[in-house]
Amino acid sequence: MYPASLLSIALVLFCVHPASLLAAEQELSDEGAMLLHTACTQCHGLRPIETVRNGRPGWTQTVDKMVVYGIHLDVEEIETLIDYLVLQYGPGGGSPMSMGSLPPGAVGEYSGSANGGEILLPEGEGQALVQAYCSLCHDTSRIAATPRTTDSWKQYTADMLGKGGFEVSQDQQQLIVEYLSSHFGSEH
Amino acid sequence: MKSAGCDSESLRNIDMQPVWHEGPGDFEEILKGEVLKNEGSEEMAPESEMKGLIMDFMDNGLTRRNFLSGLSGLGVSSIAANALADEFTPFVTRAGDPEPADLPHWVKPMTGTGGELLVAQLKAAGVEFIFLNASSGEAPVLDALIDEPSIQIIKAVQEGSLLAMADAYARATGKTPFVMIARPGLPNAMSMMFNAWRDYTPMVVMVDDVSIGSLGQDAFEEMDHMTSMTQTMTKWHWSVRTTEGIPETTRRAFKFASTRPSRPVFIAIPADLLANTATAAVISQDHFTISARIGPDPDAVARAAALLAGAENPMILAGDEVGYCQAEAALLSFAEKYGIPVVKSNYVAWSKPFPTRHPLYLGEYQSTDRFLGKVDVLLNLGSRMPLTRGRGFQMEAQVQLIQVRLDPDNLARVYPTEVAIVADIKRTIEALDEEIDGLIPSGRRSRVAKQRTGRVSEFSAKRRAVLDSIIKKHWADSPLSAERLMSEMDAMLHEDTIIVGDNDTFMAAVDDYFRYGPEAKGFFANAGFALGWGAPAAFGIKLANPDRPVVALISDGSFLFSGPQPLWSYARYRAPITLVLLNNLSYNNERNRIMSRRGRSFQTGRDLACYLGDPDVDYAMVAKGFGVDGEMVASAADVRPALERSLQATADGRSYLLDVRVGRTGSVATSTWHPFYDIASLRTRKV
Repeated sequence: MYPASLLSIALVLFCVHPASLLAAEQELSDEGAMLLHTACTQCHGLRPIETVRNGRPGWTQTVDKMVVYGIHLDVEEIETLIDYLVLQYGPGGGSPMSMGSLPPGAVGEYSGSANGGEILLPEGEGQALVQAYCSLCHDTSRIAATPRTTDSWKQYTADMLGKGGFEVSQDQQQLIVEYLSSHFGSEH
Repeated sequence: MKSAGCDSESLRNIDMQPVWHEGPGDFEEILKGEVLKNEGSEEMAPESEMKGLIMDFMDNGLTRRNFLSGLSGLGVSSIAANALADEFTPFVTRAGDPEPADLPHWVKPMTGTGGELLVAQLKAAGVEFIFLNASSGEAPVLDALIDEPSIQIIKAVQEGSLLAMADAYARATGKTPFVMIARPGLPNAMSMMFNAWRDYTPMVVMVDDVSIGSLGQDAFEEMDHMTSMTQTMTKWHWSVRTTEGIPETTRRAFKFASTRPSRPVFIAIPADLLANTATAAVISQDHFTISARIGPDPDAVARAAALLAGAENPMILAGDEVGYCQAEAALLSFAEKYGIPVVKSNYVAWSKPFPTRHPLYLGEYQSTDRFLGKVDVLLNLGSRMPLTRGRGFQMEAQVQLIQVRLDPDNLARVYPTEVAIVADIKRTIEALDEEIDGLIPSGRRSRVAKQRTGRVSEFSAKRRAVLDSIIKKHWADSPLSAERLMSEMDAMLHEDTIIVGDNDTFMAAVDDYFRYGPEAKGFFANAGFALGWGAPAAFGIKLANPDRPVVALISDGSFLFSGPQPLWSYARYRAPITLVLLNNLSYNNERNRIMSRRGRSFQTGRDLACYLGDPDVDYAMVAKGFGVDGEMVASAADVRPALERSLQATADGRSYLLDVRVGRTGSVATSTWHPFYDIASLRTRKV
């Protein structure tokens, strides 16, 4: 699970870390890449993997489902693969793909270039939380693309935070839902 | 037109005067020899020629067509000629027909309506059930069935469901079912005929066509070239031409349908032919049954055996034809003797021909097996190819493929094949075994088999441990996880329960979390993947196996395709079936595939087509409307009590539906968004 404060610490550590950590990372990277390129490409290519971001819970759900589908991994390899996926395609790993133009019915406008990935989030209580958490895995235009009902934003928020492995209090979660519903809400 | 006092003798001795007709003639007047002048002609038809024609028609095998043609040549009008032919037909003796006393016991001449002849021939074919939703044109068949208690009618209220019931019955029994529907119902039936075609299921499907005289007139409910509508999904399609031809065509239909590789057959019988009376032979179908237990080419067996004997890392791909050939025990023995692991593909196979908890069973075919190393020889026993999952389409370059199939059309259709054999699977396994035995000294064979079996068993045990760990990880998920549901069901259901599967998202879990095999649970699905098969198919399986518990595991998508209509038959026929509806309000895997393209749908998070909520259907309520009890299962804690109630219901002889709410998984799974369109808001007046 990833409290926001610990993420900041991790970012600092990333810039200055001992050789042993680097070596461990390299080993993980090598083995993880091997697993990705052998086990995970039995039935599909890499694009569905490279174009999403997930925390450990999210990648665990995905890998478990693939094991049920039939890929051959033992218990240790499952954990190695999940660790690798979190390292390569986890929160903070950059926005995986640009959405292109906002679709009809979207709320908001792009800042900067016409087809950029970011829109300026409207000001309001909860904006900072949404900016901090949601944009770790995707750009803000994804939030604006499809207005949703309050119930749907509630489910989405719980699902995203859960998969991302973020530790967020109930109050903060509620604030996020209220912000999204009020600025990107829909009756249907 | 029937004439009073008219019999064959009197007809033969009739003293005919030449007859010409001015219009619709009076048959009685013809018999009395009254002469009617044809307008504008003074010629008379010679009496001897007329009598000769009649004698030839009745005694010497002159066809009806030629009889009519001859009468026409003598100046008799078409209407009068047809009336004469109809009158004489019951008394026609085929040239050379033996006397009844000379016929073998399995040939029974019979005079009756077309419906009666059909029913008699069906009985001679061993048919116990007629699957029907009949039309009025088939009334002569229904009339005939009134006095034939040995044939039970099974009615469904939608033709696709009816066909799926018959299809499943055929898979479970190996028998060829007879299906009778109305002609406008044929397109409905074809939705499930697709599955039967894909899976080589035998069946004879019949409709009543428009009357002979109306064919081609764009008549009521007529379709031009109706039989050819089924061409791509039948082995044979035919339209019967005469009433006396009904038994012969029926026998031929059963012969085509049941001869391996078996497949559906379609026949159309014009309604008037069913109503008319004729004499024909009803013959036991046994004399038209072909054994297709063909032995393999010895040279091909020798080549295949050499490859297998020399293989470092062989593998067996087991398919549905193993079951068709009753080769399950032979396959198991062969695999164990040589230590060869067995795989299958969920998406091209509908049966489980190898016990799924056996140490040699590796589950889904993978083109590169990570734990066993590169496969060098792959023995395909009865599986369709190509396989449908991703890289499974491609064969690795080093794989030498041996294929043994009943169906020559699919054999070697895509992949280069070292040895291709068309033969009975069981006979081929036996031949291979004998050949390989001669190539490898028994000591070496045992040693290699033991080594391989040990390696595979170690891996399959690890895989089982992984699958069990996944259940534990997701045990308390909310919404309920499929893994938990299936493991609870496996523990609670009777050991010999037959699972009938019809869903996309959960098929892998259905494969992994139940124990299947000869001493464990049974399994039926279909590899055509036209959804909507499962609910009616469960009925067909139960009909074939009344003493085994039957549980259908179908998705909400599948149930919406079939609709609740199968439940009508569940209630009507008191069929104790548990219908478990895996309800995640979505075509879940369809959505995942669409989103995996990473196109605009994924980018915007908009699921245009797959979310099935709004309305959120209450399936338990729907079931109650059809006379089937049921309940919703909303959480993991509700699973066991609900299953207990369903087991009690079926023990009491009643069906039971469980609407089990499970989670959506994968890409954009959380979304309940769907394109909103409100027709009511378009109104300008409140109607």
